[in-house]
Amino acid sequence: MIWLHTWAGLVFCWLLYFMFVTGTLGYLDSELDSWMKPELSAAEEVSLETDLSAAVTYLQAHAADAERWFISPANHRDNPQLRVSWRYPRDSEKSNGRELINRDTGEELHHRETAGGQTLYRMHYRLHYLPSGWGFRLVGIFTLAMFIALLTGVVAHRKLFKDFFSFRPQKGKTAWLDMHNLSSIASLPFQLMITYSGLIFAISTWMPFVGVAAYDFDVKSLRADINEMRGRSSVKAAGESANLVGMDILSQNIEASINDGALVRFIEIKNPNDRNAKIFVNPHLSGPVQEQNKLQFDGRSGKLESSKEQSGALQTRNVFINLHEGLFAGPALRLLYILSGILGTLMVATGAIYYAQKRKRPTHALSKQQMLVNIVNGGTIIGLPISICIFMISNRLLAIELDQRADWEVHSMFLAWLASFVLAAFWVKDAMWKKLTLVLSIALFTVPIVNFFSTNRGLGQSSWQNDTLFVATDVVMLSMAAISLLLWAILSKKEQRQQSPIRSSNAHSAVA
Amino acid sequence: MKKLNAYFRSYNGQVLLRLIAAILIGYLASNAIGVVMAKSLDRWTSLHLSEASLYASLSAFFIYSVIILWAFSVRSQKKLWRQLSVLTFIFAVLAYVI
Repeated sequence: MIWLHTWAGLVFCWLLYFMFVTGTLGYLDSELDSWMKPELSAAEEVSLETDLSAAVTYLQAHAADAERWFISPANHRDNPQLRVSWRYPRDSEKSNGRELINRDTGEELHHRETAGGQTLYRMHYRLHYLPSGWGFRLVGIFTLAMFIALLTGVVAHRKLFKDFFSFRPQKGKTAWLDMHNLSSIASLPFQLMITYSGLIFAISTWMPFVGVAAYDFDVKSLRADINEMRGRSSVKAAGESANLVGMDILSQNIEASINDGALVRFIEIKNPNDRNAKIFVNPHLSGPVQEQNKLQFDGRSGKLESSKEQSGALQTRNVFINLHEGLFAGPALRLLYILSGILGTLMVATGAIYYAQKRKRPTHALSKQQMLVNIVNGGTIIGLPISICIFMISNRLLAIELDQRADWEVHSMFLAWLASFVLAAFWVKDAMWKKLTLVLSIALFTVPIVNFFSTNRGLGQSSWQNDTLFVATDVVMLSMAAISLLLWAILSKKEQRQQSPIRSSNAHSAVA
Repeated sequence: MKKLNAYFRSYNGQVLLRLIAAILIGYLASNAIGVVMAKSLDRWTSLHLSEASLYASLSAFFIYSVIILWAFSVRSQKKLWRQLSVLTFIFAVLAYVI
């Protein structure tokens, strides 16, 4: 089992590392979105009615004939601004759209074109630059490999608790193994949860056969049953126009039927301005178990029509999905999610480094293969954080009117990553880790500096009270820069000691 | 042919054979087990077929993982292939019959 652990573990290490880093940042996707739109600040939360009226007025003016409207009121970390989007039927020539709305003026909010935190988060499960669908399929395979690596890992560390308490920082490669054990065991429940729930996303991609064969290959009735289970309505437009209910009445009815203290996540209006208009209200999650299903209202009268009981199987599935996405998590739990994500990232990184160290013979020069492993290790483990810094910096430095600016933010990120690999290859024979760590530290320092000069929300320009997000980002960036600088210092010291073994042993005896 | 034979006797070849057994045959086996689970839940409990197949799908990856783990824990390669094929066959037949 131990050798399967090493195999399954290493082959997938680098991509898993990418998934862990982008996934952990995914717990801050909305925050990163806001950071990348420095022109906007979070809208104050007002009444549901105000938001809905402003949104519907806007949609009536710009997309009155759309098939579906979506409105997300500004009441949650997920929606710092009032957001609307609209969709036309698939065969329509008109294009779908989405906008952030200023509820006082009823106009769109203007902000720079940016990829935002969502794009980074999407890479976590779709990767990038791959034909649609392939990233998702690949990620499913890697997730299964991770799950198996975890299970075999538990078997490989049969002395689980003994491993947990043995950390020998001075012992070179054993220290990497200890750190690998420490970070994995400390976060094992989280890792098992996050990996298996990640697999649940891939059911229809990689395990569709179970359902299909259980239905004796009658895909049509399978689809119909799934749609019914999910409460998807099949209401068709009548083709007769009718007035949509007033938002004052609708919001009163929503507030009367939604659970106490629950907030509206988004409402969907199907066939607006039609006799068969339907309104679906989705509440925010307050925990992994969805307490209230979506509510259905009639679009003309605004009366509550139904709130169906959800099937047990679907609820079970949703608990997995909700646990994975952590949308319900408040600040404290979100922090725990992030810390567990960081531990997972460390688990993957230290596993990869330990693998490379274990194969090093002190008396032999590195083989070509070992050198390649080292380059990819350095270029991935340090290079990816560097490239994410460049992603953030490019958001500030790229010309505002640049064509396809959002794409160029992502291109800059991957170009920076490529550059890290080149640097790693260049330095692989001579203190690669030390030099890369210094580059990372500089990149991390640069983010708040560039933010200071390119916006008026830099450190010292804004305060904790009125701009928590920006101050927090600067503080986090600076602390991470300090940590990598510290790492650089430790690595330099270690290098000095290795270069002059005699002097250092003298120093040791002098201390003794 | 001789070369191929020798390769499958080598360490790497043995790993490859095991990987094929675990990943390919194991995939077939776990799908068959999933279908049997879905159909028997539908038949012998009050669950609707849609619910039963969703429960089975939710467990499918776990079943698959356990099979992969088992494939790497059986000592003899011959025993592994024999048992895994018999398992797959039985469940495929069951899935068809139920």
